[in-house]
Amino acid sequence: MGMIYTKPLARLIEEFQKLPGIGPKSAQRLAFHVLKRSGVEIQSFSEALLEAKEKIGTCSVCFNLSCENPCEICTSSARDKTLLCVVSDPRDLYALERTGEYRGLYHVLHGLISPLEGIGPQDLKLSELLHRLSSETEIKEIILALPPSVEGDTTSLYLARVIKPLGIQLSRIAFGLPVGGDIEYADALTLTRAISGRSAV
Amino acid sequence: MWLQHGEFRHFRNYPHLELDWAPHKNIFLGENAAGKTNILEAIYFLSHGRSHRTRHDRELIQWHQGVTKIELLGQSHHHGGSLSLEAQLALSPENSLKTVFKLNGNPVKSRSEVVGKIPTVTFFLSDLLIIRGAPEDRRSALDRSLVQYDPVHFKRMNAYNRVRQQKSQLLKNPPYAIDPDVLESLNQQLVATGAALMMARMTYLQQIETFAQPRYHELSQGRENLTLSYQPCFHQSFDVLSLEILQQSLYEAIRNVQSDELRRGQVLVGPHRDDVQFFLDAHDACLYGSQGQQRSIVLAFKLAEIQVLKHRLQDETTILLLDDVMAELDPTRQHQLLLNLDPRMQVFLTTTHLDSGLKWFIDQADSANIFEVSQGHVVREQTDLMSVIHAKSDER
Ligand SMILES: [Zn+2]
Repeated sequence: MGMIYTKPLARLIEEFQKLPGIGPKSAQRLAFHVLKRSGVEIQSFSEALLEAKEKIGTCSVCFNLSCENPCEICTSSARDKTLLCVVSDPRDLYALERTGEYRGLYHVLHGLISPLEGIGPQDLKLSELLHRLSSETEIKEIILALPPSVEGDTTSLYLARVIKPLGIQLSRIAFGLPVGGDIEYADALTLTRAISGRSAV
Repeated sequence: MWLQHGEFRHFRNYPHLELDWAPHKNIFLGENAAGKTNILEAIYFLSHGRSHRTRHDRELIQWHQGVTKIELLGQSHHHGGSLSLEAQLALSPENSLKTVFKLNGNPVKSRSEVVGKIPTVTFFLSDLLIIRGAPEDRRSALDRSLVQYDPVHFKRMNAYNRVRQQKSQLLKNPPYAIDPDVLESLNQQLVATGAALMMARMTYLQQIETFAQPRYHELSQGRENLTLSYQPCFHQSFDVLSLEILQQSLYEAIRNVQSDELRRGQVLVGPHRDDVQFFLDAHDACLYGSQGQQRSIVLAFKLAEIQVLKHRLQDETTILLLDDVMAELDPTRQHQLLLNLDPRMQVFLTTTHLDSGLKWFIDQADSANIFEVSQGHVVREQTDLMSVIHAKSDER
């Protein structure tokens, strides 16, 4: 673009621009902001970035983000171990935790089934979920808390199909805002019940 | 509702255009390809949340420009309230397009929120060909019209199309062997969204038929009766209007073609393959109707659309967009159309010339503006014709 930034500044702008939702103008604004802050503040900021990246991993049981493995929720004795809530993204888990209403366990899928994006069941933490259901025999009920989008519903219907033979009770809660806001949609699971007697894949 | 003012920036062939419209009749006069249709397209875009000419919003942006703005200001005939709608299309340096719609100055989350806010009935030259055209033309004519009557239909179509695209991708290009449970989950969603779409279309078509029949009767001077029929791709005819039966039939039809779908890698059954048929007495008008009969059917359909939409709007009036159709209608049908219009209704009409029928139409209007359009310029005409009209309205 022929901009004459000094090299470290150009690099900083470039790095900011790699962040989601940050265009060239915002990146420039953030970079100049960094230069105005004190050295101590910037030191602390960069340490926070590194620490988060170094220490936070995923729990090998529920795949929540955590510094511990298994995570605080999985190891907590205050949690109801008969209840498992399935979410697609750790952010949804935090949203549910903030309500303070839910006291069971979680399982984070890290995505939704979407052939258009090349995401199939094998790309999600699904075999891990099925493995959990066979080993953690205390689990009596599963709550699907997936977003009300086509992909959320496909994943819910899929889970209903694979969990049903295990004889575990399954329910679904409306959760989050429709992706893109353009999906208006009957509860697909109601329909599953209506036609499940006829389907045999 | 009527549109008082429109402003377009870098839209199609217009660098900047500002127009004040008459509450009743607005005529855009000019050669072919002068840019008359673009003005109607801008109104259509804010009324439907999409263009009728392209699926790619970026085509609306003027060549070599990065930002397009379309603003419309409307007034309610009924309660006097005003409404402003705006669309802004912006290309980023990375060439991705961002479209923002604003309703009364506030950005809306989804474009579905603007659909139907400016209620329009459109009658384009291409509509005259739908009877003999492809099923896709008839389906989209029905959906376009239904969206104005029931804006939720926009979401129904989006939901169905998304499921269909997902299934199509699964069948077409599976990265792994097709997981039967994924296919079945998508089939169930196809049934849920597809049956809702079909149901809405069938119910609406029945309403249209009720109003179109007497109009056709008049146009044909009682020679034959018009019936409209929704034809699901998997079923010869369908009288039932129970959602549950529809879901079951669709589901069975999908199961029946499953092996074909897997072999061909295509979604073979669903409302994206349905059709609308027009019968005159017992004869399929597509196969046996004369050109004149086919045009009368379309005209009756359009007049019915106006009436059905009026039903939803109660005291509010719809806006009529007529693109190039007048010259294609013979004087009798032209007269039938113009005579059947509510005089309060705001009309935007493009034409290459003013014939006697149109002159009469302008003449009897309470207010009329004529705009001369040529290569990116629009000039409001102050012709003899206009002074004649003003003189006449002064006499009254
Ligand atoms: Zn955990």
